[in-house]
Amino acid sequence: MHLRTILPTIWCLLGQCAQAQVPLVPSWTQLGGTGSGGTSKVAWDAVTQKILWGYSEQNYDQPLRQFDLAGTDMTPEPQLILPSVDNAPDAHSILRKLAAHDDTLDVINYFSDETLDQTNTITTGLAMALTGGALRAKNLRNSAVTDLVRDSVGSVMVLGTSIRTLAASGWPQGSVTVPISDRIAMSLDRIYCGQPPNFTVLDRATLTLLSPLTVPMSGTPTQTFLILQGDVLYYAVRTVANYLHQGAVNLNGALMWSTSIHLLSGSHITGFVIDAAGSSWVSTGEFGRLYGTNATGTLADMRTFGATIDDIATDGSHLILTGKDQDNASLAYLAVFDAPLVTGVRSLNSTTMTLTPNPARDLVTLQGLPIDVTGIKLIDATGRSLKELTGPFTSTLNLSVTDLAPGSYFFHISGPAEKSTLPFQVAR
Amino acid sequence: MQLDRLSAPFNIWWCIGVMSLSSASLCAQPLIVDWYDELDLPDLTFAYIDPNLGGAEVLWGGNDDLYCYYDEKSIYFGGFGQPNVFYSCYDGGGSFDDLVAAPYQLNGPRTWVWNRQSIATPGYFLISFGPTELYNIPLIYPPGSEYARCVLPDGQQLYIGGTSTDCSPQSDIVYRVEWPDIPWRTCLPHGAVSLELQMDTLLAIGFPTVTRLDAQSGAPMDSFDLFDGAANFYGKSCIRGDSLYWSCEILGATHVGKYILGVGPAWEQTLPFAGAPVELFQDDYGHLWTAVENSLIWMNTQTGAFDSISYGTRINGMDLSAGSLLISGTLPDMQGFALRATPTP
Repeated sequence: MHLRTILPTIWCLLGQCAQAQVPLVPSWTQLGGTGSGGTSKVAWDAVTQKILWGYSEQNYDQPLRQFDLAGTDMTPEPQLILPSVDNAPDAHSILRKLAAHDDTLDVINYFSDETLDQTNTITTGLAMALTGGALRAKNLRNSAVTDLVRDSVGSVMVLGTSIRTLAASGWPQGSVTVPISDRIAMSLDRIYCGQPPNFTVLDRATLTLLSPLTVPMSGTPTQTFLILQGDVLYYAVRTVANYLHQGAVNLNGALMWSTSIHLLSGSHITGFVIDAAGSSWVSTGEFGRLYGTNATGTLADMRTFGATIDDIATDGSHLILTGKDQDNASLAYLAVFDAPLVTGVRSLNSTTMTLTPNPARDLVTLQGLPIDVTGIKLIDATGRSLKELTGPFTSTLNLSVTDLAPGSYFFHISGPAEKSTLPFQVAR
Repeated sequence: MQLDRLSAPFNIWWCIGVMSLSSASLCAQPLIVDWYDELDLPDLTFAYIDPNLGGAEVLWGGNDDLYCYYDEKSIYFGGFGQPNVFYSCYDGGGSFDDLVAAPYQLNGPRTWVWNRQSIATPGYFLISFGPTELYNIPLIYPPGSEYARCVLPDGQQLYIGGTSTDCSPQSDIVYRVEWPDIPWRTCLPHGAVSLELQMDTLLAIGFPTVTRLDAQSGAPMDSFDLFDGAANFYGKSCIRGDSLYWSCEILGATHVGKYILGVGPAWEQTLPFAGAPVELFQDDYGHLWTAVENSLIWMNTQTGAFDSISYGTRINGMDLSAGSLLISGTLPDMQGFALRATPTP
């Protein structure tokens, strides 16, 4: 374990986690945006290998910027625009989420206008085709859309205390009332939402309630973020007493780990991701704080960056942050960190491994596999494990993908104490 | 006909079987939803796409008001979801029965809106899309003795089909309007439930009997039957080239058929739904679109094979124009919904 990881851990053991001040050093940053009231969000699109970065501002339409991991500006012309609320003095436009799935970006943009007679709140989920084409909008008037998750089957939308499912075409299907939910996680056949200690579990096709997924919890949750990766549900919860509870629970109910830390007053969760090493990262808004917990549940990193951290994304091996700039809060920053920050679990050196061709049609070849690889998993875009290969492995692995539908996939490569993820596409 | 049904792809029947268990179809729909919105209106009755601008307008008649809901698709995002898209566009009283698309260019884009009897001054109205402009076209002749069933716009002409006591002992009538004139009125021995134009020939469709008339003079030419069965006063049709598609309820089941003009019936399909169809349209990808009760139905124009998806408690109105499908309907909680989609292959 490196010193930079050990020190914050010691801080945490001393109960001083919230006071840790270890600034991050990004590999590159980009500033943008106009105005001071906006919110910035970021997403990673595994298909186009691009970072999508947007910010909202009341009176300004804002372009949706695109970058590659090296920081090259890939923003196309004409730019996709995140719309504002114009000519409405009491209106607000708040960007709540960007999420990329294949070549489509989902945007949750929240509008409210207290001057309107007919309606006070308009929440809009937009889906933009990144490769061009029509801008599509799904609007739910007077409803607070808090999350929208999409896969090849369709999408699921959360409206606070109800869940709505949509087919892949966007056709509305069913809706059901659920406990208040900030975020959802879903697999091909299950939806997870609600708050701990009893997460709500729904059958995705019928929206019927299944047995809850129970985890240990103390305190009253006010914010709950969820991520489903493979057979593991990760959660990050802020309580009324301002504690950050995190944990990972197997879908069969076995708790893998849980941890807790006291936050600074006024903190709230703005971002939550799991990297390729299985480490979880939580950002807590106004104070520009980032909490990293390794795959065994050890709180291993507490960092600061910018005036705020409004959102986090990851491609697996990079952390991508956005928020308000430290020096000029009227500007938004985009910052990319290209090294694994949590060193409790060392990442395999993916730069020595190559995966060709990508996109693949019939066969993929993994070259440069380390000699101590113990297992390789083929995972689809929803996190579902499709194939599990066990060693021994040579440095080269050929694998037929003729049985895979076109889409996004990952190889999850494990060593004795290391993990790495290689994304690839199947296209025909 | 039977052969068509038997040769329908298995998955179509499988889909329908699934749907009978759940309102959610597992089949892919040949459309992509552009937007979906729910409105605090109990009964969105009409859905209409402006043929001039491509925007969408949903009209709801009730409580002496006509509400318009406008999506100006040409102005990127603007409009739908933003303020001031929903407005009361007519408060003259009464309720509206239907509206039809008409790229009417007399003084800018216009929409024909017509009512049968319930507005204080019977007549047919021309209403603009944007500002509230309403024109009363007094067409009922003699007042109170006619009942219009269908309207077909054709540029600045309007054909109207219905019934009239003026046609006794016959009861059905078709007439042509060149506002404010009525060049001809023709009484028919068979019903005029739907109207279509093929070149200069007007087809007065009575389900099953179709009367062909000269569109210029109104003179009847000949007639033929779409199917064997009793006359039905509720039906919809659409035409492309020499293919005339029709849909109506026969003995409690919704039927859809294709009739090739000058040749005869091509296929007829009995759908597992009961009710009168809500409109009938053909897209550019070889699909017919209709709706019955709460099901949206699409069919292969070559074979009649069909599939469907359900939503809400009822689909009340639909339109397909400018490559866009617009649907309005009612939800279980008595709210209304509107959905705009783009048909795909």
